[in-house]
Amino acid sequence: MKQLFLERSNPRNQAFFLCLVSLILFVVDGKSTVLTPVRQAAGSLVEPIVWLAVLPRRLAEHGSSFFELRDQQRLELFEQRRLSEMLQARQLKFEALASENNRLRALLGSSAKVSDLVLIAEVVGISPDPDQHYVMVDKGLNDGAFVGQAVIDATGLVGQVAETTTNLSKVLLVTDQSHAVPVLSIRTASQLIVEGTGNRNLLSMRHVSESLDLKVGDLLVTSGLGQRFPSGYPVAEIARYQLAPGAAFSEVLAKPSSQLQTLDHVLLVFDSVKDLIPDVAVKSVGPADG
Amino acid sequence: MADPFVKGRWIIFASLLLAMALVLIPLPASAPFELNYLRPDWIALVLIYWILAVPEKVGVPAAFCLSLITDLVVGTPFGFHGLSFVILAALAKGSYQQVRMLEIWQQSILIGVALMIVSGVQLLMMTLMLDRSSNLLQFMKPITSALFWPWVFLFLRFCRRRYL
Repeated sequence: MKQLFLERSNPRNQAFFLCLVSLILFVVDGKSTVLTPVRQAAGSLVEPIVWLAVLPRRLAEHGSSFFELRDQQRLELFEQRRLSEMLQARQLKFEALASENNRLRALLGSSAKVSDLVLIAEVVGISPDPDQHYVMVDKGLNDGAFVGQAVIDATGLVGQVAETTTNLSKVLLVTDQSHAVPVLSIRTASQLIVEGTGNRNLLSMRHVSESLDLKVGDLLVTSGLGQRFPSGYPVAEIARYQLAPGAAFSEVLAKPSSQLQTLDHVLLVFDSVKDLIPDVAVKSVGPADG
Repeated sequence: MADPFVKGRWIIFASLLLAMALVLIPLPASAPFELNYLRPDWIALVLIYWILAVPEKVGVPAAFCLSLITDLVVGTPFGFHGLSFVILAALAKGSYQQVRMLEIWQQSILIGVALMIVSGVQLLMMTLMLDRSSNLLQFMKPITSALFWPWVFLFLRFCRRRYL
C-alpha cells in the first residue's frame, strides 16, 4: 500500500481544516517576514520548475539565431560593435566625471559615491496575476543578490529585489501598489516620494503641497534618501500636475522611465565591489573588449 | 512495480509541472499586456482533471501540497492558492461521480462557475487581508479557463489512457 495520503479523517473536516491552515498561513506570510527563511529554503528546491518555463524561450532564441542569415548576423555584429565603441567613448568621459565627483564629495565630507557595478539578469517568469507587479529573474543568492537590492534597466529604475533563493530572485516593480521610492526632481531638487499605483504606466505622489515647483515633463531621479536605492537613477517623468481648487494637495501623476510591461533583461545594482561575487564580476561588469 | 497506486503516477506530476511552466512563461514583448488577464488558470484545470479522473490518487491533501508549491513558484504568500485549491478539490471530490456523467461543455460551465467563486475568494483575500486592490478584469480568467477546459480534458484523458 503506497497511497500518498491515507484517508483516516472525514474528508469534509479535512478540507475545512486545510482551508483554515491556508488562511492562517496567508495572513502570517503576507503580513510578516517570519516565514522568509522557509520560503528561501523551499524556494531553492522548486527552482527547476521555473527553469522549465524558460526552456522554450531559450530554445527559440537559439533556433532563431541558428537560422538567421549570415549577412544579417554580420550586419548586426557590425552595428553592435559600433554601439559598443560609442558607449565606451562615452564611458571614458563618465569615468573621469565620476572620479572627479567622488573626489569633490570626499573634500566635502559627503559619503554618496557614484557606483556603477551591475549584474545582468534575465527575466524568467512573471506574476500570474497582472495586478501584482513582480517578475522573477535568473540571479539569486549564489550571484550575490540580496533583498532590497536596487534593480534598473537601460532606461531607469525597475524596482527592488523582494525575495531571493539560490539562483532566482523576485523583483518587485516600482509600479506595484506596495512600492514607494524617494526621488528628487532634477530641475528644482524638490524631494518627493513616488508610489506605485497598480497601473503599469502610472506612478503617483501623495501629499504634494501646492507651493512645490513642479512641471509636466520634470524628470524624477532616485534621491538616495532612505539608503535603499543608490542616488541618480531616473525613475519617472511627471505626466500630470493639477491642483483642484479647494484641495489640500495637488494631484501629481508620473510615467515610469523604464518599459515595465516588456522587461526581458534587467541589471542588479551593487553598492560596493565586495558585494559582488568575483568571477561573476569579471564576466559581466568588466569593460567590454571590442 | 506492480502496485497499481504507484504505476504511472509520474504523468500526474509531469502534467502539473507543465501547467506551472505555462503559468510562468512571460508573453512575448510584442503581445499587448492586457492579454495577461486572459491567461487560463492551468494549474487549477489540471488539478481538477486529476481529481475527477482518479479521486483515489489525488485528493484534498494533495491539492494543499500543490498549492504550497504553486505559491513558492509564482511568488504569492503561502496559503494564497491554498484556500482556492482546497475548495476546488473538495468540490471535485464530492461530486466526481456526477460531473463525470456530464458532457464536456457542461463540465466547462460548471468549472467556470467554480473558478469564478474561487477568484472571488482570492480577490477578497488580497483586498481584505493585504490591502491590495485588484482589477475586476481578474474575472476574465475563469471564463478563458472554462473555454480551455475541453482541450485540457481531451489532452489529459489521452495521457491518462496511454500512461496511467
